[in-house]
Amino acid sequence: MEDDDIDQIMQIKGIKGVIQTDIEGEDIASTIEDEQLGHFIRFLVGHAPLFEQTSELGPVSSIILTSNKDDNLGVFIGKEHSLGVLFARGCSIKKLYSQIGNYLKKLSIGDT
Amino acid sequence: MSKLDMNKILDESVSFDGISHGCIYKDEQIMASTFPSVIQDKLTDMGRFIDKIFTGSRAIDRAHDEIHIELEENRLIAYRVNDDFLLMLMAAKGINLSLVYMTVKSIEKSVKLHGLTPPKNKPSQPSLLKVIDDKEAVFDYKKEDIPVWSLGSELQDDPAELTHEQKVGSYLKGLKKILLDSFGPVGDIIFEEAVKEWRVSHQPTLDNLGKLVDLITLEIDGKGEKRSFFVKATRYIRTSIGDRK
Repeated sequence: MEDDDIDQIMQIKGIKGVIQTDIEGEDIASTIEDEQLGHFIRFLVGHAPLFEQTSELGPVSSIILTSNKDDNLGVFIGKEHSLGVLFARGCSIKKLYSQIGNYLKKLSIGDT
Repeated sequence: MSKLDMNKILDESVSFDGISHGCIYKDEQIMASTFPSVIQDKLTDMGRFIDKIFTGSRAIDRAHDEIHIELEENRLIAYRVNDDFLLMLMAAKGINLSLVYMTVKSIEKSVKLHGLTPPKNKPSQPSLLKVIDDKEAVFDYKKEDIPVWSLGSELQDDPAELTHEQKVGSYLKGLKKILLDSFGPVGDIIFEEAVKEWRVSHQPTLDNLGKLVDLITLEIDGKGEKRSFFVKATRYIRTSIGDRK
């Protein structure tokens, strides 16, 4: 993903931060300054394959955490890259998918 | 006011079109479940996994209490209810999330007000569940064991224009669809056997549809599957006939 793409995602209303990681969870690009949040996103990226092994329900394409007190958090899992997105709690999950769907496709992430 | 029963909470949660199964996880145990018995042994691990994520969120001073895990054909949604237990629901991707959210919030409020009791059958470890409910279980299950719940209405025709016999036929189609959605081709066999018996032992009328549901339920293996079908079928019949009879 180009820096331009990150910039464009950040322009979407409700998006507060983005982290792109490689398969090992190393940051490729990030606009999230909160170090702990960055760790938590990488933790989620790392746990998706563990959940697949545990549940045997097939591939996990995303994990989204929501709250009525904090910002929401989404991790979209790809074969080579994953994308973590911090988005405002008023932003719906369906809306998030529609807004960043093109960028996920560009990275071959998820099943959009 | 009496405390809420976990099974009642589950029944309410899985009564929506689009929710195929649900379970309650608390203290590293599955307290109640409508999931197919063949995956019961995985539910505790899944609950533990999700609990770990919520704990991680808290560790960084976040208050996430709802998680959506997107799978190929379904979405697993889990809620941390009152910091007390996890309600895990297997949902179709197109489900109305606001409807589910408001139901869970309503459950949360009711549990706060009235408390919660475990189901009458005591909480079981997955291994016990497997022994009790699933003596002939296929242990090598696959994701196909979780059906994709259709969001469409089962009764397509306008009942006002149908004869009694045609209405019965429509409801039979609806019941068959519930079975097929839950059990695939095996549902067809279960349905045909039960209908055959129903036609021999009862008049095939709308009033006797409940007897058919009983017969189908008897044919289904596994306590969880029996309950899941029974809840969906009775709700389907009660709602449809209640509204349109």
